[in-house]
Amino acid sequence: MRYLLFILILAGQNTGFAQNLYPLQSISDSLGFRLVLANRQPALQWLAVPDAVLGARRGNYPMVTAIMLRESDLVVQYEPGRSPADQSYRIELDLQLPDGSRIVPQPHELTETTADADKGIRELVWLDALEYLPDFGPTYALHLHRTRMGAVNCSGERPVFSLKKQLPHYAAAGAGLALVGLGQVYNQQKKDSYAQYKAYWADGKTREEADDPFLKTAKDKKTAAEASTYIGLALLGADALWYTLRAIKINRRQKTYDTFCAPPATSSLQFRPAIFPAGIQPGVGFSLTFSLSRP
Amino acid sequence: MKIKQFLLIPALFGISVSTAIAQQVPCYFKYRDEGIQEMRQKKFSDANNLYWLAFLCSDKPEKNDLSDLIQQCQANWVRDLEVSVQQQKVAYEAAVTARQEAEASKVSEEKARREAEKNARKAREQGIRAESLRMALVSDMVRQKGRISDALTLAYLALQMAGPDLSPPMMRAFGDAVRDSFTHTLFNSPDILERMEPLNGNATGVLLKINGGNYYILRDGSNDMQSQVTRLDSDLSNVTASPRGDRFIGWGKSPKIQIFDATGAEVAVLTGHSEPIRTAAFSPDGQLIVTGSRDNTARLWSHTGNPLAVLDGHTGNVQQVVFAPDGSYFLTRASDGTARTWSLQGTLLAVFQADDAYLRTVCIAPDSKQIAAVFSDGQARLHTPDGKQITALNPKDQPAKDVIFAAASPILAVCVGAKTVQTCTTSGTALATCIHQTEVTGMALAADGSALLTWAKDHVVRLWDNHGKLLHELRGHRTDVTEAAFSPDGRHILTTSKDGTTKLWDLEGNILTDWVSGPNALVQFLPNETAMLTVMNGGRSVARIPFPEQIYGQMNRQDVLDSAGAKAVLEEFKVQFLDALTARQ
Repeated sequence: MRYLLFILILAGQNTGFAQNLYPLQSISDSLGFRLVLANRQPALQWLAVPDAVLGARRGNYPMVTAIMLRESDLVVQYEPGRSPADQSYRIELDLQLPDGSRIVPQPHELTETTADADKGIRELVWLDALEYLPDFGPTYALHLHRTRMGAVNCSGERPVFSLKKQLPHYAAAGAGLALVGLGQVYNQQKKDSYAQYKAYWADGKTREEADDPFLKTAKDKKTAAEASTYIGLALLGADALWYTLRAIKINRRQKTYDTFCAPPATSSLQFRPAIFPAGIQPGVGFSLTFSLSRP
Repeated sequence: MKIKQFLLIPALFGISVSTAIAQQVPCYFKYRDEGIQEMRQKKFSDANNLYWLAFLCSDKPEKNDLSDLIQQCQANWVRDLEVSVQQQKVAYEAAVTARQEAEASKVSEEKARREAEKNARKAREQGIRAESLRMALVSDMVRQKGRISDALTLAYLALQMAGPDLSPPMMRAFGDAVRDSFTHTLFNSPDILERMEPLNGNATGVLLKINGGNYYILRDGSNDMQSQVTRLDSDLSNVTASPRGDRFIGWGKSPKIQIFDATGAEVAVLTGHSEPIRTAAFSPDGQLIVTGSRDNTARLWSHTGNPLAVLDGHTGNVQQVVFAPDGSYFLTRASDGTARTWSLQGTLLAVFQADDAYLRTVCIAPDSKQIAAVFSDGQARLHTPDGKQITALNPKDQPAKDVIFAAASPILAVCVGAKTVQTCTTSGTALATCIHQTEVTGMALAADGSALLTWAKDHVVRLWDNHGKLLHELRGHRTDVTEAAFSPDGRHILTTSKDGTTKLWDLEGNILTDWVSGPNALVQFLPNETAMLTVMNGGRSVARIPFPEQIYGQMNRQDVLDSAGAKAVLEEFKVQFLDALTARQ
């Protein structure tokens, strides 16, 4: 039984790990640069000092600490920010060539490593990005996108623990209760059978006449009653646990949705011009509206 | 002559006899009176003779008026003759005038006839032209309604009817009909195609890369290539095919290199590099392989995977390896800003570098005797494979951006500055300078170097001859042109654009057909065929499209006009000038 509970809890947790992540919020920076030669090696020359990008902490986003060319690789060093448990971040790069075309790195061209474990600095490396920069004169742009990722899809509906989602839990709870009830029935049958066995025994019947039919039945009923009751209770417990986990998860998603996806809250008290139709009090004036529902 | 002589003798005899008689016979008054009568009747000759006879008569008075009469007769005769001459002259002049008028009338009639014939011919030609144009437009309309076969027939007959007097809409209608009728889909991809490379120069083998990194080989599927797809190892980031298309080198994030055979089975694994592979190439005969890695080395291998040499010397990732077209040496370029040439035994031949400059681009001439290098400071130079400089390809104040060689002639093109492309021979002799109004974004040379294509930021592709004369401007793309190329026979041009469209042009600047090839606009001429290999269907299908000319030739060899389909189409669309069509056939 303990193993069963453990598996159920793990399964509940795993559904959280396997969930899809969606972009919640992002910031994008465009950094213009030219290629220059320093000590016979190409280097980036920024057109404007990117102070707002480099070394500036913005919210919970990872902080970019350096962008450089290392041989032919383009390296972005960053310090990951603190993220809530169900959120993560994503850093993406692309290059804009002078003709306006964009180059997005292929998956095999990107690696991510720890640059300084003590300071918690990591590196996103675009391998051999220099090969995409053909000329030394023109202006290029590096687009840096930092995205906060969460388990809520902002383009979808607000997460709700709907009746449809709750129904399997109710069904499981019903099944658990039914099993417990069945266990009680078996228990009663066990008691009856055992009482009969004892009655026959007391009446001085032989062992062959009394023992086999009633004691065996009582033992069988006892086994069945225990199995039904325990399975039913386990099902009830697991269902309650799963229900609670889902409710917590959905509640957390609702909070995330309300924070990142909901449109800006408008005042429930609104005062605006209005035209009143003929019949009541025709004319033009102002209306005062108070909304009782969530906008 | 004999008759005159015969008549002269009796005449003389008659005159003599008359004279003799007159001298003997009194006849003066008779002859005189008769002469006067004759003169009044304007028979001046007879009158004159009679007067002369009277002159001989024996009864002639001494005083007579015969002389006066003779003079009068002669004077009258002269007057009469003068009148007659005048009348004849007038008559003659009238006749001449009449004749001239008749002749003039004849000329004008002939002229009018000719004019009428000319007008009729012109009207007929215009009618034929109009009718053939109408047929082309109708072909377009029925094609858009899905009647592909009828559209092709109509477009073909429009071309037949127009003869040599073709107009761009007719060629376009036929090209579009050919495209819709003969496009053969070879492969439907589960995702957008990123790369497409015909193997061994034909469509019976194609190497494909699909978005997400999977490589596929399509084989010998002229009719059903979909069933002969081989998927290579999914961990490959790049694959290179051998020149014959029967071997493939593949590599991914790891330092190992895999060699696959034509069926996609792994036949060897090359190990030795300590960091991921960046590049690899087969020698032209397919017997050698050279690989370049992020470990700053290149390695030479046999085609079976035996290591032959380790090429040290670069101090940066080896980014490019390429064999000379004749296979006599190979070249490596690295991110240390240099390139090196090596013998097939792995001996260093030369280092290509510049002081305070980074080598950006390097390419080998088709005859393998020259190497063009472009550096970060804009200098472009031509070298021999052993490193000797042949010539500088651009003035110092005009930085070079790119260099290309013609495939089969000693001519190269250099893009200098932003708006100029220059062509020259491999010995450095300048041929042409092509100046643009906007920034040049690409160029391509015809295989024989006789023509140059350039495309610029104004979305126009320009065709130049090898003297720098602008032949045609190919206008039609609405966004930046990404690529343009001559067909192997030099008679067609393919252009692709950022809007995902591809256009096929003739050398007169007419669009023959176009299609949507998808976001990556992958399209190539098939070197050994008169067709193109292209992606379609939003970049998810590989298809083969024949040249319109090829289909036109095929249809010419068939009796299209006599086919039931053609007759039905001609009748349905009430095609006029059928006699012209029959005559041209």
